[in-house]
Amino acid sequence: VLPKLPIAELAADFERHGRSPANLGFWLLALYRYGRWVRELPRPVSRVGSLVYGAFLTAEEFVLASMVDRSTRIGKEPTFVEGRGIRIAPGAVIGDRVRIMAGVTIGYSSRPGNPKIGDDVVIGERARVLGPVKVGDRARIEPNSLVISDVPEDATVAGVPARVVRSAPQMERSP
Amino acid sequence: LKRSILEELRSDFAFHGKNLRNPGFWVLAAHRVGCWASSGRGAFGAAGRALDGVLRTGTKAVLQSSIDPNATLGEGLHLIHGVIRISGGTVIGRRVGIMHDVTIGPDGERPGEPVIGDDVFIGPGAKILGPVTIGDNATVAANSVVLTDVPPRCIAIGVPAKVLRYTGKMGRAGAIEPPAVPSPSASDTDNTP
Repeated sequence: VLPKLPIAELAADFERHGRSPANLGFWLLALYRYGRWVRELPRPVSRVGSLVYGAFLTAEEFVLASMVDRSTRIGKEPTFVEGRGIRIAPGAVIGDRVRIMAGVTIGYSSRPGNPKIGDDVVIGERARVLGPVKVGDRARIEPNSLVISDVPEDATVAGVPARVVRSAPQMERSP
Repeated sequence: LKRSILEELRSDFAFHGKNLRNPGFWVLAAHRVGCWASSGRGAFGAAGRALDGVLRTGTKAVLQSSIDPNATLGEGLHLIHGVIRISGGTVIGRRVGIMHDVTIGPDGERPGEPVIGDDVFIGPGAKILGPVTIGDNATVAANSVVLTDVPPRCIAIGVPAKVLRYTGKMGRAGAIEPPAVPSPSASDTDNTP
């Protein structure tokens, strides 16, 4: 049985990325979906398809300075708000409905292990999440932060290294 | 002692994992070829300077990186993903690893430019600005802004960067361990000059 083309997912991605082909984040996600689909095809076809995938991935790294590998586990409905400079290590695990801004690095530090990002997390521009850290559900990582320790659920973290600046979600704090 | 251009390129290629798909290698290769080509004389020099301009513009426009021709780069420089800015006057030691989004240059106020020692690791998004010296085996953490000197074997972290001593032991083969995140109570590791 051949794997189904991820057309429904791609249509939803296009919708979520502002229905604009100029949004590079959509293309990042489209390449990711293509790569995962093509690797499930029968052997000779998946070989050729993977070569095409590899060529586009290299182009992505050279032109957009982004790298979202197909072996990364990304949950449902991710959003790449502007696709420039997004680097996600292959071993990272990312939850559902995560929003990732431009210039975000999710990767390794010299400690062994990979980041685990929960559901509904928002990661601000140029934030770095490095090493074996867990980011809890609904957490917010402010722009330019460096996350090298665990982030609790519902927390907002900021700074280098990042600390909790608000532990409840903003909505409940301001009536 | 000047090494020939081919030898330089071969050693850069080896330090970048012998992988032509690494943009860091191309940034460095374009810089090396540009410097070599523009050092010629007469008609060769004019053609070389034109090639140098094309390579530098291409590197800036496509790979979003620039290395000034007057920067001093040590042996074994490893640009892990490219996307860096290194100004002229900067001095970089041997076996330095630089990740993406790093800027090394003047701070626009104080005269002078950074001097970086041997075996330094600079994390993604770090900025090293002004007449500062980074000691041998030091680490600059990701997204840090370094405006003061960093002694050897220390970690600079924060905006502006504070200097921490190693709290953990060195990993295998001199691998660098990140500092334990300093909690407000554990300020004894804090060695701010």
